Amino acid sequence: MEERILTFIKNDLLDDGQLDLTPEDDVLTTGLVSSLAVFRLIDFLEQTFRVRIPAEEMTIENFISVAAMSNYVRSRQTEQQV
Amino acid sequence: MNPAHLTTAQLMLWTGQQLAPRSPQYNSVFTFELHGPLDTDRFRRSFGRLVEECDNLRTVFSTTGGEVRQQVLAEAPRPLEFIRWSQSPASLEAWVAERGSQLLDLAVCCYDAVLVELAPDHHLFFLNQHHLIVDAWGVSVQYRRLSELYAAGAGAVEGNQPPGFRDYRRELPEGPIAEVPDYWSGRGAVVPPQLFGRDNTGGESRSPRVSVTLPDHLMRGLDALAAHPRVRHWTWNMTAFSVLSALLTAYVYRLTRQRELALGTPAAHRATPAERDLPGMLIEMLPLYGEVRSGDSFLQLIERQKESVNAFLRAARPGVIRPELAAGYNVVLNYITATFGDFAPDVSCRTRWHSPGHADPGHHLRLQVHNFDGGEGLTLEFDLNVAVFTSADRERVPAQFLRLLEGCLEDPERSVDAVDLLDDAEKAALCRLSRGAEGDAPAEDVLHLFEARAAAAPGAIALAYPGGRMTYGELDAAAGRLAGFLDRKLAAEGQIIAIHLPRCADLLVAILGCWKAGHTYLPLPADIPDGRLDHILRETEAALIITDAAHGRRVGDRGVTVLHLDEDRPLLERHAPLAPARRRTAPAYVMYTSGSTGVPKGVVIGHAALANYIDYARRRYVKGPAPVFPLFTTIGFDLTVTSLFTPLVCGGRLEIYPEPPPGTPDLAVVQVMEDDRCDVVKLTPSHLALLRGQDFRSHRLRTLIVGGEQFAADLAREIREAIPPAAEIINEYGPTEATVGCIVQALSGATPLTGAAVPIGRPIPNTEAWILDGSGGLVLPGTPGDLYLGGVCLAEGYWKREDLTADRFLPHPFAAHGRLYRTGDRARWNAAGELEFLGRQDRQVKWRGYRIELDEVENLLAGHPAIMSAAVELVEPIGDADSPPDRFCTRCGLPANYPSASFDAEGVCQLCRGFADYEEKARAYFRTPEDFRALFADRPVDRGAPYDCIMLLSGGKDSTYVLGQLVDMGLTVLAFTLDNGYISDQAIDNIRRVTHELGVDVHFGSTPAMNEIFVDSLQRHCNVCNGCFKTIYTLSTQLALEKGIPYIVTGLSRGQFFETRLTEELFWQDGMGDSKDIDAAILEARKAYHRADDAVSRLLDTSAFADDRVFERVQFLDFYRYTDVTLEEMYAYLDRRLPWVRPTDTGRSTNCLINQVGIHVHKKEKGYNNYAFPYSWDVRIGHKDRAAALEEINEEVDVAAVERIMQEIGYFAPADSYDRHQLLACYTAAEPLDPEDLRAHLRHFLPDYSLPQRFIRLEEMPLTPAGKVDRRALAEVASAQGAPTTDVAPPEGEIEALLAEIWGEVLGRERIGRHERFIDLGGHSLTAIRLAARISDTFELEVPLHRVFELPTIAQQASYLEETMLRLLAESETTAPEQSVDTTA
Repeated sequence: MEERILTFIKNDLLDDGQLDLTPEDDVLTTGLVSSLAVFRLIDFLEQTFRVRIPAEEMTIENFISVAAMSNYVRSRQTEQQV
Repeated sequence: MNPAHLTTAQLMLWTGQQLAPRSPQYNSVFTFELHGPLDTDRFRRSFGRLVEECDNLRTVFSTTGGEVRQQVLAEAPRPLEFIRWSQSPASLEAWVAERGSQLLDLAVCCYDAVLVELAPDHHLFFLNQHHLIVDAWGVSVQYRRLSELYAAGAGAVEGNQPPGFRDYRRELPEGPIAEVPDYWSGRGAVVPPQLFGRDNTGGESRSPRVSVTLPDHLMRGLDALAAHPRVRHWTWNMTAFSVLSALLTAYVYRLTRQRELALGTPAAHRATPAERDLPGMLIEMLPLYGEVRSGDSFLQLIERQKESVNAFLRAARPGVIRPELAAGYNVVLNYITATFGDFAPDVSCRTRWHSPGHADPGHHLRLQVHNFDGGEGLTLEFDLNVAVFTSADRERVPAQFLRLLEGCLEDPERSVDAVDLLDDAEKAALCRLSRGAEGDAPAEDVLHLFEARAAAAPGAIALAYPGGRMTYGELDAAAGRLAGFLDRKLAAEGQIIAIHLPRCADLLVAILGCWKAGHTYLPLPADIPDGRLDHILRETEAALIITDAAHGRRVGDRGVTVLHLDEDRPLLERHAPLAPARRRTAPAYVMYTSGSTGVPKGVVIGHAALANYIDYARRRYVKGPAPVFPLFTTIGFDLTVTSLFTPLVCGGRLEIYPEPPPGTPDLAVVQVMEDDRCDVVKLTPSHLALLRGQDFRSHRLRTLIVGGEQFAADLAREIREAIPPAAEIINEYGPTEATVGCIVQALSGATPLTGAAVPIGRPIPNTEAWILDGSGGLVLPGTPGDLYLGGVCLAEGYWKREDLTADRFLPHPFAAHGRLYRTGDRARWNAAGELEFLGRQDRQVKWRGYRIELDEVENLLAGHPAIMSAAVELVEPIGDADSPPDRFCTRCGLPANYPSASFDAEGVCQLCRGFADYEEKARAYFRTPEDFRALFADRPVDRGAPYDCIMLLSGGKDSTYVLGQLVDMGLTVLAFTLDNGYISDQAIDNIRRVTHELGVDVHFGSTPAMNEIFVDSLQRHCNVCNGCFKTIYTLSTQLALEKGIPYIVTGLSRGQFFETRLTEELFWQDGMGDSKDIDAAILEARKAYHRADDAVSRLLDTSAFADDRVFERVQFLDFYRYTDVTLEEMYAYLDRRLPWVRPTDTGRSTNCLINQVGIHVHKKEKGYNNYAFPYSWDVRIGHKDRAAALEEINEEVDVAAVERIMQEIGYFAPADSYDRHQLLACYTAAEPLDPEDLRAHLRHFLPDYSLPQRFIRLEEMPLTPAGKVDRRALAEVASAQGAPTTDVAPPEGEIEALLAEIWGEVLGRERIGRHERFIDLGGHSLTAIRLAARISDTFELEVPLHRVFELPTIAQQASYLEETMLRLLAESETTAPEQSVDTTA
């Protein structure tokens, strides 16, 4: 999952496949991913991982890094199965 | 470069510019102040290079055939201008303002660029671009690129060249993207707020800008709040945007009390690096929804706003913008994240965005927030439209917003309502106004004041009445004797004494006697209804009823002691007058008023309240010698209290006008004025309206006191002219609960009257008037709020209604003691410090999502010069969808709610009546079976076609009958059936059996687009048949062309001809009626029909219809044009000849399951069955009988099945159900007025949605006994008058007919009236563009787009076209005389 998110960020959002980006990097507060691009990322996560992300859960904690996003998406997946 | 379409966002700007062609509202004016050594030549070359690189700078706009296109020029359209500044540095600002407000010629060049040299190392780069080509971020892209080019010596800098706007645009669809994201759909109820109670109906664009820099402490506070875990968002900017949008929402809520609100805010559409490098116009202004809930803290509001921002940004994809969305907001937040930075290492830059002084007229308040130089602080710029904000308001708004922000930052947990928006001085001033003048409350009550007069001048005349007079002494003595009687008769003081008397001298004796004995009087007017009388006597437990012999009968047997003042006079004479001088503790009177619930309630008024008012009235209204007041209004209404007592406390006289005999109208007011015996007259505006047109200038009248209703300025102006110049008009406001009149405005001859209604003025002494918001806080001056009253004037409460008393009389919020009365009225303080009455809270209605002030519409209508009085109500319409029509034409069964149906005395509809006149002509249209056979004399099969004809077979009785007949004639037939997915199984079986039996080939046509066509048909026509029929015609024509078959035979019934082919007008016109002409007309209509834009033409291949020849190659024959057959004959034939079985699975009339969806939707949206009209024709021409038609159109549909099918095809009924109420205006005038004139009059002041749909002229306004307009009677008037008659006047003349056709195409509607307005019919800017283009095309004239809005009806457009054509003709004649000779030769 992390790999797919990283690839999406690099190729689709930043247009730079060669970028050195790790799952732990802060992509939000550094401005690396623009605040508007996060919403495209959310679309991507919803479609790719079949989760619904409600507006109230679009928080900095859930989206600060690729690792945080993966954790969050997994927790949504589990929740939705229940 | 090829011209290209505009993005929808651009198109909206372009439309806005067309509507205001002289307004520089879309100029994006930036200046860059450059300090440091600048090589101006290099700068000039760099700018040239920038224009080469940025296609948006080279973009220009032009219209061809009314359609706007943009085009990128190859060369720079304009060079950088260079100016060496020689004037004073101070005048530079004025130069920027002037230059920045110059209009750009969009067809030539959309920018204006100047480099101004102020000093050798000091320059100003001025860049003005039209918003069509750039947004604020785009300017920053251009600026950075310019700086790069400059750094590189104006040479080429590869790699960083900005991408073309052209490519971005190409990725967008033309027009808005089809799906509206959920975030924006179904929000019809969110209406734009009325800031300061004002609107910008005149399309004013002047919007001066007020800039403030956020003070340091607020900036620090914002930083701290942004770090709060519940506030913090992705980035600081996102956080600040959420906070500021929440605060702007809260501010508008505080101004207007509107809790649900949309702010217009740009979606930047710049998520990726590539998008961020685009220099063009990418933003789309979209509504951002916010809601302030009761009790919200700032933190709660911000959290909710954060979620809304998330939902907004997720939904905001390029292309979602559409004109309708812009109708939901008039407050805009433009949070700009672009930064600019220094120009070069040694050239610093200060960037400023200048207002062109104008803004989009739809943006009443704009807040722009930016930090261009990337420094510490934020700049807040408010653009405030002058139509909405006075200059004082424009100073106030930024200060109030900052105060709200400060309050939030100080303590985000506090309530949004808790922050004071007024500063101390403003607050003190407002409190001073609200408290009114302080005066000494009178020490004595009204009785004592009277007794003092009686003692001082017992011989003076107190009362005059027909046939007699009474002096003060006599009145006092009579009252004293009555008091003596009461004192003996009743055990204790403080009883309720009912007084049931007409207007007579004894009335005053009774009231004064009652007071002298220490009791409370209860007026029961002579004409009081029985039910009300019972209720009041029961509730008050009155101890005694004072009446006279004539009225006593009505109250005699109610178990209450009755005293007849006339008959029992000998009894009273025996009582010595009761000695005066006791202090009264019992209330003065209990007056019953109608509650909004219909249950009357008794208002208890104490002596102090009454004395305060009467003492004020005596001192304020009575000037000069002791006055005469008339008593001519009902004693059951507290308006009359003024006349009853004021003269008696100042030595004046009461002139009594008795009631007329029962059943005759009370026109005493006319008598009073004619008699000219009175100095001071108290009456209602409705009374005054009765006096219009008369001249009282030489009368003795000194004062008119007007109360009880809102007083229209227009009426006031007229009356002011009709009374003596020195006379004064007093407008008095006061509910019964605050004793007669407690807020007063005097109108002298010179007082200007600007508004629609006379202001109600200021509180009288010892009285308070507060305007509070929903949570009890003071509202800002100018802002509408709820009116509360306080002070001595207040009633003690409602008699025996503690619950109601507690609900309406509340503890005073600003004083330790005292109460405030909640009036239920809305009001505001105007700029002159007077109160303006804005109507009852319950007179503010919501209609189709719009808020309408009925009182406002009413006042404006009353202001029409020809109108004497007016009343506006929201009423249930005739033929409401939920209540089935109660009448049907007695001849054909057409329901009464069919549009424009009207029945004569025998209940026959106008269609049946009209048909009698052209029946013969119509019958001539029909032919014989021989004619039909003759068509096939030269048989197509003999010429090599595989079939003689295609027959459209639905499987129903009519078409099956036709098929059998064709075969019986010996024709070779190909049956065509559209499998629309909903044909019933039994119908399919019938088709298979019948075609098998007859040996006929059958072709089942189908299309994957069927469901979409159904949905489109339901949306356009509220039925499924239109879409289905057109699909059948289209597919069968294709089949016929393919196989070379020349005829398509339909089984349309004769009734359906009149629905789809024939209109009665075809038979009216002279020279028409020849069936050849009719056929020609029908053919033309068919061409237009097939070429019209709808789902069929979009989803099916309809290219064949573009060529006129197709209509010759394939002809349609309606079988029933040639054959007349009754239902019985038809069934008999089917039973005998064919294995056809009557279907049982669809309802009797149809073979198609989806048909009932159409019927259901049509009934719901239009109120009647879509078969009502064709069936009425079936009956009219004798194909069906009325009973059968009625049975079918009144058949119930299976709603569950309908809903299931709607789900399947994806049709959803309009989200907010259509509000069928109608705004009804009744008026009195010398003669009926043209409704269009009245609408035009109202349109000067009101938005279109506030205009009444119906106008009814009445001989006289129905009045209640109290002299107020009887609103319940109006609704009855409306229903008695039947269906509206002002609707749909058909087009007149050739030009209008052509226009109507174009309108129909563009709007996708049929039957458009010549006075119907474009906007009312669902027109918006995009459709306006199409309309203007098609009109220009058809008439070969250039029709500017703004004309479509300026001339919004077919009639107006036609006269414009006519004038233009005549003018052009005249011009061509004068300029080219030779040619004109040639043409005439």
